[in-house]
Amino acid sequence: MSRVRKALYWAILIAIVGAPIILAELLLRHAGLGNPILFYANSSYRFAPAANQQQVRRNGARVTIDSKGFRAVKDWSSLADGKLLFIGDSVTWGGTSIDDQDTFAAGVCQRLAQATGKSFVCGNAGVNQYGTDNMAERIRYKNIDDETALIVTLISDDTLRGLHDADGSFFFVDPPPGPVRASWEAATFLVWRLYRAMRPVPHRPDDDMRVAERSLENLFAAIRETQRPGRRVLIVLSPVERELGGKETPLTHRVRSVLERSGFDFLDLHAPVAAGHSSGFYSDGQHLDVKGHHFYADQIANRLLGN
Amino acid sequence: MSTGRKALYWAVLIAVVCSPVVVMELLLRSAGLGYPILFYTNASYRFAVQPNQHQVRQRGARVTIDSKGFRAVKDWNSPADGKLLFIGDSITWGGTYIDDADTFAAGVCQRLEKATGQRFVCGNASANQYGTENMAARIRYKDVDDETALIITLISGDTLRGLRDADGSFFFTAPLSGPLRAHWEVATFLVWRLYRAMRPLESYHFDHDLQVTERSLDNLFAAVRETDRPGRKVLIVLSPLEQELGGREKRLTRYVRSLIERSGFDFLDLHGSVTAAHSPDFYYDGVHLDTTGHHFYADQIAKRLLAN
Repeated sequence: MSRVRKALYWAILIAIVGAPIILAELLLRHAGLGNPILFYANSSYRFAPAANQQQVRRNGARVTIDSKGFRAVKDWSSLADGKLLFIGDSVTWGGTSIDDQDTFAAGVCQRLAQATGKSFVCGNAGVNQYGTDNMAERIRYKNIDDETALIVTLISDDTLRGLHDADGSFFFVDPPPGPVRASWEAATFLVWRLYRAMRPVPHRPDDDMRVAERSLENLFAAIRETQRPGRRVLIVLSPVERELGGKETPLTHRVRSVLERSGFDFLDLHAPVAAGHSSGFYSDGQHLDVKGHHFYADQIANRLLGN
Repeated sequence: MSTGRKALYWAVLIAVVCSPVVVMELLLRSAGLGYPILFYTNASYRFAVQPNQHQVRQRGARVTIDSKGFRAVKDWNSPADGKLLFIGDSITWGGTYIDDADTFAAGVCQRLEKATGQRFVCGNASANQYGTENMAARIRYKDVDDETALIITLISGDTLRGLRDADGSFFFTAPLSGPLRAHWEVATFLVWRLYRAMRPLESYHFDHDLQVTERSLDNLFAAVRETDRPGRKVLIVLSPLEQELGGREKRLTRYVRSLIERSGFDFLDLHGSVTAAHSPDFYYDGVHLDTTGHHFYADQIAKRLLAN
């Protein structure tokens, strides 16, 4: 075979082998993969998004992390009449298929600004898989102390998550490597899911109620330890779809009663969501779709405005 | 081809394809795999070994879990003059390459019996990867309340582990099924390691470490105090890493030592004595003990308990 034919042979072979990989990579990048939001780990709240990032992910949703590590439309350092810090789990975080503007945290700022004519900054320190113990630690070890309102949003199950750790969670602390980074991200996700499928972890519920109570007490203690004159505190209990219409589990009943007795301002969204629920409210029965986020923003803003 | 030849052909083909798998399965089982110790998970201490198990694992080591979920030579319910409950991380647990009788928890009982002529039961309520938060929760939510001594053994790094949970840990909660269970155990381990390799957690912020350490130890001390009963002895043991022997303790270790010293609990710091007694077969891997190390720890802890 001549050298030209040899080169042609190898070029075709590489193209045949490489084409599906390149095609898959392009498709995955088009779907928003390859540049995940990056996190860091620590010993207190265990993990949180790294500061100063912006990515466009699924559905073209922008995900912006400001200089303080909060998901936000306006940087926390911006001048404002009021600064609202939102702490929560994945419901508050909003996921990467909801645009920054559409998260209820950002929505509250929009509504407050419109209602009062003042300027507000809303920082979203919600993170996937956070339990109430992670939230308590995030409140204790946050790197700001000028918030004028602290809004903690949780579902009842958060009280049983413990201090959820980075090891078992799916996120990246460094960008996926190489030219096939979207494939790397997808492959890592599949390996993570595979491990969970190969080694399922059933839960023994014996001490759930006691742990829920202790975990909430820890959250309340964190709020009290960081309390300053003039800072408002609102705790929001977010319902999951299957518990709407009076179908709350004993755990949810217990969490609600502990929150009611806490002395903190408390917004239980079970009844309003049951009344305002429609298709497109939840994205998966627990996390909110855009409609749900807007509804939560209305409810929280109304409560903060005293309506 | 006749039917007989066809059958022979397929039989040979299947044997050729399957024999490496069968041989590998047998090799893995002879190495102690296929029947892992089983765990359960809960909301408080997050995970622990299930009660009533017995397996022979690596190096022929017996691993026995009693009716209360403690690694033990004698069941916790056995009649005894003293019952010692050991709480700790993987060092106390001993791994599945150390025989029950060689763990320092069991060794303390042997030494106390020999020295006093009385009967003792030693329950080992430890687990791989436990942090001090897991230990505190284990103390608060344990299902026994008749221990005459509580011995907590930790390394300084335990105070930064938070409340370790099942998601990121490697263990099984149900028996492996099927004829290739040893393969399944190995494959699951490899997938677990692969995930950690594909998604390393190198970006660690140290900012809060000392504050978290203090808070975590305070929580441990609070758990001990909340469950205190008259007559129960408490001993906290600080276990050294090989790399920190000979006065090379890190700042975190020095800090942990000072906090335990100030706690008011009986405290046994093993840095000095291990440095003096250290030999090449003391540690298994620089953190975990080999049989020599376990026997040494048993000597030290028994001596301290007998002195008080």
